Formats: sequence, structure tokens, C-alpha cells
Amino acid sequence: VKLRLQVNGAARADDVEPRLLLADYLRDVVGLTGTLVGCDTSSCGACTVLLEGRAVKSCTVLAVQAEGRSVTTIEGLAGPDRLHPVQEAFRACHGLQCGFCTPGMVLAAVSLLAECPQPTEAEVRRGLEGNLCRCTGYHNIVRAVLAAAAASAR
Amino acid sequence: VIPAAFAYQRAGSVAEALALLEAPGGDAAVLAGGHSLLPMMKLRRTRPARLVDIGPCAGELGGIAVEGSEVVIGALVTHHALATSPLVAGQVPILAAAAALVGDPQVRRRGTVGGSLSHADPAADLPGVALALGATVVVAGPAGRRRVPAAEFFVARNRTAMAPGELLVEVRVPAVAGARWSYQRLTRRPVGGPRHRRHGGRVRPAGCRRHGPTRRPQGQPGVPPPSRRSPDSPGARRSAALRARARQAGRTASMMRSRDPRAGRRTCRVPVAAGARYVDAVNDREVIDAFVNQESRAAFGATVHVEADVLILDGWWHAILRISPDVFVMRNETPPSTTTLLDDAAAAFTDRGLQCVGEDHPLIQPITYTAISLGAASWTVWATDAATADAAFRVKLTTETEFVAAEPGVLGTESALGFSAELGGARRLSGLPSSVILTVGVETARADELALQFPDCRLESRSFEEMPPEACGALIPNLIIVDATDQVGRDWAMEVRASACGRFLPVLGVVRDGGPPLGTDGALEADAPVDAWIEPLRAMLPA
Repeated sequence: VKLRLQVNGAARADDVEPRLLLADYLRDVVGLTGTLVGCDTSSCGACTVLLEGRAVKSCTVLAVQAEGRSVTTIEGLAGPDRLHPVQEAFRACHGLQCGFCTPGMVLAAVSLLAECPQPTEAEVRRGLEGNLCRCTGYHNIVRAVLAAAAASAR
Repeated sequence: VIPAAFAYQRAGSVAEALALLEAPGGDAAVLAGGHSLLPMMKLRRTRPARLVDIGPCAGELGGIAVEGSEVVIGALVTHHALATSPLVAGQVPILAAAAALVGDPQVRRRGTVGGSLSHADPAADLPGVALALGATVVVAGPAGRRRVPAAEFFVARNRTAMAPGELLVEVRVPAVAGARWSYQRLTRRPVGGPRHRRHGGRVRPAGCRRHGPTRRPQGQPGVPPPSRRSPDSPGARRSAALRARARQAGRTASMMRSRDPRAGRRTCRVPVAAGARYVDAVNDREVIDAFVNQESRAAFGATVHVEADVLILDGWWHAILRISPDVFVMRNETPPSTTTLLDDAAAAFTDRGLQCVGEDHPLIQPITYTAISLGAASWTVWATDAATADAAFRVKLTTETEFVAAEPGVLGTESALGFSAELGGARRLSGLPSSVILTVGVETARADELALQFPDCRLESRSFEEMPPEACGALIPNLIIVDATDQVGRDWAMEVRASACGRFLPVLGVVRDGGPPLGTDGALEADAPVDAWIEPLRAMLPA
């Protein structure tokens, strides 16, 4: 099947099998390996990407379902030589340990802040409930998201 | 994990979707958000020949509107849209509250109302609420549209009254603005932390979690809640009343919207009540009977269910395994739970003429570990006699347990099976070679060359016909090399990822000028000399 979509702002056209998952398309066809596959059962959120600016779990979306849409991965969140404010906040607040969940966490946080620019701590925790961190570094992740929200308010 | 292959068709309108569903080309499934369907397809529980994607019909099926005394919700409305719609919050607040509890934010953005209702999972949030509200499901088919009351729409677990070729287009929910309501969800899924919690000196499972927009107080702080064992405790009376109400609700769905004389308004009962009837289609005793006497491989009761040869009780941590039609092992209950389900099962065994032939046997732990990852526990064996049980265990191990099949005779002595609760440990103890390289579809000459290069490994060479992807577990490979120079091999590489053995194994694809095929971890150049293969292979093998 012919697939046309935008990945990180660039238009692409690829011939894909219908059963190809968006996560595998991004990793294996486009070569963007920042999108990680953890549980592969839409539980862990490591594969989170932005579809039309909203976080989705790309292991449970077929690539063909993204036809005509725009997809943003962690690589496309900021330019190659700078960090997105949420990434900056993760760095400043030590919001990562092993880093496996980080791309998904960051993109879920970006999506959360787009909908709710000044969330409370409880709202951040609920907003990230689809993302698991096996290092259990949730406290610093929540701090990072709150810091990013505060920075954008200034 | 990758779904089985299917043909993909996009429908731009309901009319087009119906035409596609009717078209030839094998059974078709409707794809909306895909958050119920795709997981089922990835697990290969369902393998439709075609998918009809109704995603592009969002304009037609994505609306929420009030019509008279009903709120009309299009099939493609997402859980997120339902949870955040001011209209729903005002007219059917219980629906918004339930939708806000579905999955997580990412799932709610993709999952749709129509998908959740057609999937008919008793554990899902929306079907129970639809029943409680007395909703009506509107289904479009070749002969036009028909309306089905929710109480008739849900037929059984994952089964609805929709015929093939029909499409759920909307759900109509009575507006109940101002009604008093509560939505409580109970989950048996272990939610982390210890599975037991001490409460006033008694132990009870903590796998039950209650959450929702309103919480009932759990008793006074510091005062232990009444035991669930006492039939006279307030908790027991309350749950008995709830069960009775659920039974009645099942018979009369309209009761769910009875008038509350005190409030003078229509009242919604907790959907737990409606859900209970839905789940209760088969009761626990019937499930046990089906499992013990009828060799049932799928059955679903209120607190137990059967998956293949496993009957799972009380969440995940008690189970009965069927080793053969007349040999069973039952996990000893420590600490004892408040249910009598294990007693019921023991009675069913006795009625069949089986007896308890002992507790534990050296082969139980590897079997149960492989079957349900429950190794370190004690089990009671039920069979006609001990010899029959012993024979059945050996058959089960040699035919179904991965790490023994490769070398007959490794069952060996009891000490060789001193099971370390890890398959890797079991393999070391039973003396199997440290590494097995499996080649599939690779020329025999090349495989022989490789065998010479890897004297410390065992090389197994198979053709595609000999080695279907799901069968390679019996060889316990550490590394798989598949000839992916044509489509047969590339398909095989994708399929092996979906089988239990291939999921965590390195797979290398043999290619002619190209990168690693999809589903593989690396590529080997077909025409390169064998020396060029050694280094990438070594890198993939365990140290």
C-alpha cells in the first residue's frame, strides 16, 4: 500500500505492508530509532509519538492509519542542535535514569501541556499514566513537566 | 509482535464501508481506532482476511448531538472526546466519567465508542455503562439501519448481535441530566505492590482496587473493616444486596432508570450491577465443570476463567492446570482465600473418580513455570493414580515444554531437574549445549561451513517446510538465521517475531545487497564468504 505522510515536517511516500505498525515504520523504514518499543501491547508508552500533535502509542497504530497525517517523533521535537523546553526541563530536573521511557515521557508531556498548559502535580501524574518508567523515577519526571510548564508561563 | 497479513481497504463513507464489508475476499473486520482490534490481531487471537478502515468517515460518524431526550454519539467519537465533551458532561455525566477512566490518555485519544461497544469486552467501561443507561445501539447493514437495545446487543464475551456485513454507526443514550449516579470500577488485575495486605490480623487479597470519581469510605481509620467471611457483616450484606440487584437488573434493564421518589428524578444504578449480569452469563461452577469434565479450553465466569489448559481463579495467582484430560494440578492456597472455588474444584475431581495423589512432583515446577510463570509454589496433584500422573507429566514436558524436547532422556534424575526457576538455569542443569544456532532455508553447504566455524555451538539446519515459525521453540535456539532473499523468508522472519520463541531472540536475515529485512536484527550478505558471517554471528551469541 502506498503511504503518504509527514514525518517531523518532511513529506514522505513509502510502499508499506498494511500490517506494518507505525512504530516499526518509524524505526525500520524511516530509520528514526528514538521511538522505542517496550511492551508492544500499548501498556508502557515507550513508543509514544505525536500524531497531529497529540500523543498516541505507535505500537497500536498501523502505519497506513497515519495516511495524510503528520507524525512527530522525539527526533523532530526540536532542531538537531537544540532541545525542546520539555527536554531541557527533563535534563535540568534529572527526569531520566536509564532513558528508555524518556522519548515517550517527553512526547506525552508535550501533548499534555498542549492541552493543559499549567497542570497541577496531580494532573501531570494522571496525564502521564500511560507511560511506565522501570527505574521508577516518576518524581523527577513530574518535577520536570511542572518546571517546563512554569518556564513557558514566564 | 506483528499481526497476520491482511488486505487493507479504506472507506470514505458509511455506504462505502458497507459495500466493502459485503465485497468478496474473505472475512472483513472494521478498523476504527484499532485499540481493541489491533492488540487481538497482534496476539493472533483474530486473523481477519481484510480490514475496512472507517477512520476517514470521521465527518459522518464523529459527532455528538442531542436529539429529543437522547444524546446521539457517533461510532468514531473517541473516549477522549466523550470524556471532555461539555454536552456529555451535562447530559450523561456518568458516561463522561467512565470514558475518562478508559486506558490512559494515549489510548483514549485513539479508542472509539463504536470500537469499544463492538468489541464487547465485559471488562471494558463503556459496555457496562451502556447497559446501565439502557442505551440503544444503531447498526447499519445492507438492508438499512436497525436499532438494538444494549441489553440485546451484548450476546456474550466479545460477541454482539451484529451480523457480518453490519457496522455500528451510533449509540443513543437517554439524557439523564440531574440524575444521581456513581461509577465504580473493580479490577482484578494486580496493580503492583504486594498481593496481600494485612487487615486487622486477617489476610486478604489486595488485587482488588476500587477507583472512580466517587469513593465510598472504607470504614473508620484505625478500625479494621468487617471480615468478608461473616455473612452478617455490613459488607457481606451490601454485596449480597448488590448481587441480588444485579440479577434482577439482568432481567429488567429498564429498572436501571427507575424513579427515585426522594429525589424526584431518574436515578442511575451503579453499572457494576449491570456488568455483573453481563459477566455472569456463565457462573463459576459451570466453568469448573466445563474445565474438569468437558475439557473446555475457553470459558468465562464471574471470578474464574479458562484459557486453554489453565483455569485461573481469583485474578492471577491461583490456578489449576490440566496436564491431560484426567490429570490436574491445583495450586495450594496459601493463605486461604475467602472463596470456596478450590473446594468446588476438588469436589468436581472427586466426582470424576480422581483422587489427590500427593503434593508436588519434581516435574510440576518446570511445567507450571512454562505454562503460567508460576514456579515456586506448591501444588496438589489430582489423577486416577500416581503412575498415571507421572506419565502425564513426562508427556507434557517432552511435547510441550521447550527446554526438554531437544534431547530425549534429559529428564534424567531428580537432581538434574532441581529447578532454578529460570529456564536458563534449567538448561544448564540438564546439560544441553550452551548455544544453538538455527538456520532456516539456508543452503546445506553454507550451513555445514558454519558448523565447522562454530564447533562450540550446535547447528540445526532446517528448510521452511520443516520449520514453521511457531515450531522453532522446541529446538531452544539462541540465534536464528533465515534466508530472506525472497518473500517466503521475509514473511517467515516477520512471523517468528509473533511466536513465543522468536520474540526475544536475535534473528539475522540472509539478503542480497540490502539492509536487515523487517523483523530481523541484522543482515548477512548471501554471496559473501563464510568468514564474513562469523563476526556478526559471534556478536549475537551469548557470551
